Amino acid sequence: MKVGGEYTFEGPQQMVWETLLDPTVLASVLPGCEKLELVGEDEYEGALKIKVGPVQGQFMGKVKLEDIQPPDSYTMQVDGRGAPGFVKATGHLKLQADGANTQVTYEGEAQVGGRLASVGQRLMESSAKAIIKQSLDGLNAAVKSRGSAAAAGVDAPPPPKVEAPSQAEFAATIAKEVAKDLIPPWLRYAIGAAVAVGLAYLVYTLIG
Amino acid sequence: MTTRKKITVTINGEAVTREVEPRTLLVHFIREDANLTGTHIGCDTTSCGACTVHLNGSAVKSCTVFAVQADGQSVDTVEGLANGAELHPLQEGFWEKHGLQCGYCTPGMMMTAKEFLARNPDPTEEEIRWGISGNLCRCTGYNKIVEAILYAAEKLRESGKEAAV
Amino acid sequence: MIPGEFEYHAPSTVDEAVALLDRLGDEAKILAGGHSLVPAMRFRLAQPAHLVDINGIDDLAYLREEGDHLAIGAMTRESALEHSDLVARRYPMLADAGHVIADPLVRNRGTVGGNLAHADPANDHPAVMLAYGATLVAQGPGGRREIAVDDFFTGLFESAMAANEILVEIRVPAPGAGNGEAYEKFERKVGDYAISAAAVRLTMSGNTCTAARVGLTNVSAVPMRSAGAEAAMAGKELTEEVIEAAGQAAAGECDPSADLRGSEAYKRDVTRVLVKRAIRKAMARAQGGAA
Repeated sequence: MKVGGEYTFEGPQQMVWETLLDPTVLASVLPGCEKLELVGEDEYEGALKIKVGPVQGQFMGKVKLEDIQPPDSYTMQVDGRGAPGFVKATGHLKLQADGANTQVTYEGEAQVGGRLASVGQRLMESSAKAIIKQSLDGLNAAVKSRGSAAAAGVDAPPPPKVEAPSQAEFAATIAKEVAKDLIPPWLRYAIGAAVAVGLAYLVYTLIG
Repeated sequence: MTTRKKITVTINGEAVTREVEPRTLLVHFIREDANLTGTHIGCDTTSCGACTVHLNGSAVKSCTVFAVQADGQSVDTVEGLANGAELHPLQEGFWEKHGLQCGYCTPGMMMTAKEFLARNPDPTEEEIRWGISGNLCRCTGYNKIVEAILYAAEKLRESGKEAAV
Repeated sequence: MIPGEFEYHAPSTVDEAVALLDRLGDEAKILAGGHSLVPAMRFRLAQPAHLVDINGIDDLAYLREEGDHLAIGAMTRESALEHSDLVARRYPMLADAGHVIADPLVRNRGTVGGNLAHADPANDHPAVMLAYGATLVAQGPGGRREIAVDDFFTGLFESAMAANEILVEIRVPAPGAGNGEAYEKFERKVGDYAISAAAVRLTMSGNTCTAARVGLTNVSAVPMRSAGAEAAMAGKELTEEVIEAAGQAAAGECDPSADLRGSEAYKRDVTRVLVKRAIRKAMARAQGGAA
């Protein structure tokens, strides 16, 4: 399945890049994100509880970030598994300044299998689109609040949540702390981005 | 462990009482708890209709109903069609017109047809095809099934019997 | 497969059912017809911990005209719509839908309320109710409230009802003078979900359309009206050009996903054709012609 699209974030490119790579933000905007932990170098594992209508499933995903070129683009590899099915996906994100905004172009290819893929075939694409839109809207809100906080010279308020249980925030904070201890700041951001975006991908493609 | 429920379902006029898990499907209750294996399971997707029975006189796919929903209700299966040694006109029709090959869809076809004929005792061929559109057959191509149902319709009209559902 | 385990509740009143939903929250699902839920449960794609079976609640299944509308009890089975003289005579678009929802066996269990509350864009009633401009009545702990159908569908499988509300009634505005309506569905085989479907309700004055509502099935994530098709017709004489323009507008406005039922382009064109067919049938019915 191919997924792709464009989204305009209301903020400058550097800020959008940082928001996209902020694990706390991503954990809270990814619907149902429950857990985020470091399992290896450049590799995160997360748990996502996905719900689309009556269909619900728990998924574990591994994400690797590659080819990072801040603040312009990166590629990620996703490997996700859950009782309802599995997904292997590759995704590519590109950022481009557009005046005061940033245009993000995303495209990816996913192989989905298992019961979810066969039984839910007709809903793959629309579910993926729905979850992507929900997450992007959440990310945009985070970008905007970061922007207005910066303008006011204050710390950014906590990012708005998208249906994530409080465990997500807690888990993301833990992940952040772990990351702080083990990894230098720049790499921390990159990994965080990878995980978050990769998990996003997992969600989109699995549920799709 | 969820709470098991004691249910009583009247199947073909006989009360059957068992303790079941709520998730037990009606088709499994009929086949395994009541030992009536004429009702068949042909798919996993509520598509084929081989599991068709009557629930309170209404033809339903018993694979998509829970047994606990039939508590205190009446169920009719294919085993209840014949009157002792006397075949129901539908059974006779499927025999006479060679309306079956492997026979797997046949109980479901007959139970659906029974309700259909009760509502429409003098149907056209097209109406019959529409009426059995919830039952799939992989052997016959449906023509002989339609003929069997036409045969039964005529027999039922002639005998003046009420196609009691 | 065997479904996952769940606790089973069979309330006998709506209040009891609402209280159960209120207490159990998102661990509970309503069991009405069950022919969308149980198949998902049999694949264990849905594993609700609790099922609230509302089939035992009296007085939730009825079809009666009350003043300026048809009141449909939420537990009315689709087969009741299919075989109702009242519906065939006065609400032919509803009869059209009643004939093409799944198959006769599923229609003996499936309910109008369930078809709407599930908010699946592939279901048939959402587009039909959008074309009718129906009102949906939900009951929650605080009592009943009316929700206009235009506000009812809020996302993929999402409705405006709260988790502790149950749909109890659907109100379809009665036909006025010059009313014509039709539901045209195209499917791969009998009983399938639509490749696309169009629900059209028109008010005609001679050959001029004074009002139009158009609903589309399975060509968007959220059941939608085609505002473009409606605008193309409102106040105009329905010539072939106008009808084609309405079809084109709907085809451009919808958002189908490519899947086993067809590519995006194919679904768009099927939508165009079905909108046109539904318009022509609705016009014929408005002018007292054959159904």
